[in-house]
Amino acid sequence: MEPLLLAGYSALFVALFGYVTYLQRRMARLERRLEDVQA
Amino acid sequence: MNGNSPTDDGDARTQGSRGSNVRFARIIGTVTGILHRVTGSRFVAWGAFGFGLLSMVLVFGFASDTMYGIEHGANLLAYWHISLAWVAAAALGSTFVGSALYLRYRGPFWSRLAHSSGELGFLFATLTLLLGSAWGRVIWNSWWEWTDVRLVTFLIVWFIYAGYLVVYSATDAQSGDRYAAVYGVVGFVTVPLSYASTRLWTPTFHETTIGNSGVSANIDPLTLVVTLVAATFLYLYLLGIRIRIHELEQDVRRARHSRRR
Repeated sequence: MEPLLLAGYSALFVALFGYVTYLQRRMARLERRLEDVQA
Repeated sequence: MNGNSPTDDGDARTQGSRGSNVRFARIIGTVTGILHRVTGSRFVAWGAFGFGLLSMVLVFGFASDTMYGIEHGANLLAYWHISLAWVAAAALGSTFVGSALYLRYRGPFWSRLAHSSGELGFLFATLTLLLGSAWGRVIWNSWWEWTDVRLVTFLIVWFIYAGYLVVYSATDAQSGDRYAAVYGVVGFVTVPLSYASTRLWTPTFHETTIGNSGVSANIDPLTLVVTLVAATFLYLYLLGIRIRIHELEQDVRRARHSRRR
């Protein structure tokens, strides 16, 4: 497989997967904080 | 003579415009509800995963790696490069619509939609530039060309939306939303300009592809459509999460405020 093709799709996957993980973690943290404030 | 006084005419006109405002507000409410349901549904998340997987199978298993007469594996980057560029334009279009509706109706949903789409549009535009640069290395033998009008105008779009995110995060919640909304409306002019640039000015590398039978890109339409659908589902999925984060931030602020009282 061409190194440029591998690098391109790897960068795409890492960026998208990283962003989804970041958003999910941020959402979970906010939900916990909301529960704490409401308790 | 119909016997009505000018005051009666004025009242009727005010009632008429109020009635149409209420009707329009109802339509907006319905659209907001649909958007909420669509972006938050499992169908969108599974759609992004399923079509993403199918796109990868088609790109790596079936699509031809010969484009513009050049045989090279990196040509397969074109499918996600083109799809991300279109979804970036759609996301930045949503920022424009959300900003315009926020300026008109002041609903927090429109501001959240505008900012969330702006952030996603910026991410997709960044990935479009990265993949395009790698693909350009193969078909143009260059990572970047300052003489190409599409590249330069797309870079301007990228800077405009980087500025939009800075304006949104650097100003306070109330006035910041308004500033960002004005920026989102005015800045959008660069998006259609970038997409029409190959028709407005003489292109050096990027050619007009839609409606141009002279282009020999050799891009498989099925693979491109599947990738485009995958990228659209991905955008909707991420948009749902990003809007939910905005809502949770607002809920936490409200809960803290009511606790202090």
